[in-house]
Amino acid sequence: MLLQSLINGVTMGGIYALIALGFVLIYKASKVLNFAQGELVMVGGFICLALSEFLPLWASIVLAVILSALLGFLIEKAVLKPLIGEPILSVIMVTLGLAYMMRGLVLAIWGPDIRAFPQLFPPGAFNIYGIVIPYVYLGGLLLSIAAIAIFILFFTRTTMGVAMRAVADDQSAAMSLGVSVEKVFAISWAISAMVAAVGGILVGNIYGGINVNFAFIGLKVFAVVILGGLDSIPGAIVGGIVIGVAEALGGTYLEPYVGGGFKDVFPLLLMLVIMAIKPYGLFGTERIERV
Amino acid sequence: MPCGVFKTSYAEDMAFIKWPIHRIALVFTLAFLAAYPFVFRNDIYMLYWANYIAIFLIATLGINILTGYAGQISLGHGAFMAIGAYASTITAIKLGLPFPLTTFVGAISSMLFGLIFGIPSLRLKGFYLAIATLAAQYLVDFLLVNPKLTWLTGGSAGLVVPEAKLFGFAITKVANSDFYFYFVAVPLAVFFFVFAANLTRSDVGRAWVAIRDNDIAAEIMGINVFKYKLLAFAIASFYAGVAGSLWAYYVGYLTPEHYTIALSIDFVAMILIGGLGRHWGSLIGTVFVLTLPEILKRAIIPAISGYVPMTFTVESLRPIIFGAIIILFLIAEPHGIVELLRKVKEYLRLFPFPY
Repeated sequence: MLLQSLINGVTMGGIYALIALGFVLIYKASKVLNFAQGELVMVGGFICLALSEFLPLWASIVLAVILSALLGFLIEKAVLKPLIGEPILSVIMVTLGLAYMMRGLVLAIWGPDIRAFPQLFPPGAFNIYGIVIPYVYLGGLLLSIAAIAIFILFFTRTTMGVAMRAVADDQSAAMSLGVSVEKVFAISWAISAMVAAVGGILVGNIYGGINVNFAFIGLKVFAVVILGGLDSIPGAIVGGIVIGVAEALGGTYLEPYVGGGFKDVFPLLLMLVIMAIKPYGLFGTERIERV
Repeated sequence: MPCGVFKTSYAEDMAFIKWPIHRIALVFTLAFLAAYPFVFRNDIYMLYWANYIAIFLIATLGINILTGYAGQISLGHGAFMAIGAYASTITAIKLGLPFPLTTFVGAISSMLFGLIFGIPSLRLKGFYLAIATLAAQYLVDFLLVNPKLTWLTGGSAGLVVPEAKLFGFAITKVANSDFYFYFVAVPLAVFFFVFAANLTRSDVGRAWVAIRDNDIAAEIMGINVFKYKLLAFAIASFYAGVAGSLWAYYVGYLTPEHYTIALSIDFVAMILIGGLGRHWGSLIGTVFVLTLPEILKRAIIPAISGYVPMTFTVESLRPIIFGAIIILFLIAEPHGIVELLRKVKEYLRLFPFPY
């Protein structure tokens, strides 16, 4: 029972980590806090679902990821770019507005019902000494690890990745060395939407079906980034796993005592505690404010 | 002889009635508010609409003080309203207290809850505070539908609110209750509006604005930042509690569905669209946000259905349009409709000349 919840938790945690990486990426590059990350996950899942009706599954996944990247790029160009340098309230609200719009569009196109998600992995499960691991979980975990590895390789090995790290480090210095900051902002949104779509497809596979409330996953991503630190990539990975495991354990052991739905609230409680103790998270940079 | 109005003292400069036209506008507004229920005496829909706006205006004034003046982002204003509504209903059911007293109890409970979430605001800023209040919203939602607390909150089925009596005279759950309730909701809204306006032009309001603009600078100037942040939270949640209690009595039943995150985001939309840090903005935003779904339902959805390959309902079209309007306002006019109106006024004042 304990081991079972641990395994479920680690799998979900891997996916949370992946989605949180997208959030951290946008924050590191442009200091924008994206409240629409959960909605990007949902939209990615729905695009894949819609495409899989007339394309083979692998093609629809690839296409969904590409379309999501395009969506992220367009969002940055149309909405976030005019707001560079505006106060934090405006930026938060504009991403909330985006979240609202995406939610409405998904409701208008697909309706509020739960849609069955096409299965990427065969049904059935491993059975090791009584611990049951469904193939979906194993596949989800492996794919999210692979995606995180690609993500990290991109940042350490490619020119664009190095340019993005330079912008995150010092915007004006990067600019004076010839890095196009605008391009970096747009690409960070595109990549973030891409990883969100991958996360959406994986979670869709695990849940078996998606509807508009799928965007709820964004809340867990907040818990992850607060735990790990807003601008820390290792923090997002560690935080993702911790939150995934905490959620699974809370669901198994605490839910019977405090009532249904506690699984979804537990990460938030944990987050509030972390905020009170370590406001910048485990690995986040402490910000020194000056007048 | 001076032509025009010249102010010679600070008191004159800060007065509500600065120009003769303000006096005329005040008389007309009061006459309009007084005549409204009698004109629409038999039109329940128009009375309902006025009450709806008056009640929500109280809550919007609260969040505008908190976010617009003191600069503390709250995504949990719906939860504050829920606490007020539930506290007043529960005291009315379990203790049998009368309507004015339960409303007060609701407002005080909401204020205490707001204070609890105001305490971390000293350390948490911006995004962190937004997330903390968002978490508060979900925690309250969770508690309200929690099956273990059904004995108190009624769970997801909710509670039936007892009738409201004022001086032994029932004003809800009777024939013409919309008409009677108008005389509670609208005067209260006017009172809270004037109170908020007075508060924000006093030293308290200036302290809030200083904290909003830069809290560290404000602290160096000798403002007790923690005290004023807590005060902003307390007043905002008090306002929300009053609104929640009134709304519970007016609707006559209480379900957790009324007070979800959607309501909290609606409040943020109201102050953003109306105008952050302007009380008139609260009014305009409330009217706009509450009226738009009706316009959509009656005019726009019938007009466009059949032309687009999507199934638009109020539930789906409302978020799309709100989202689009929030984004448009933030990009084009971050100070909302009030600022837009002010610009139009300035333009008209000088009309034929550019300066």
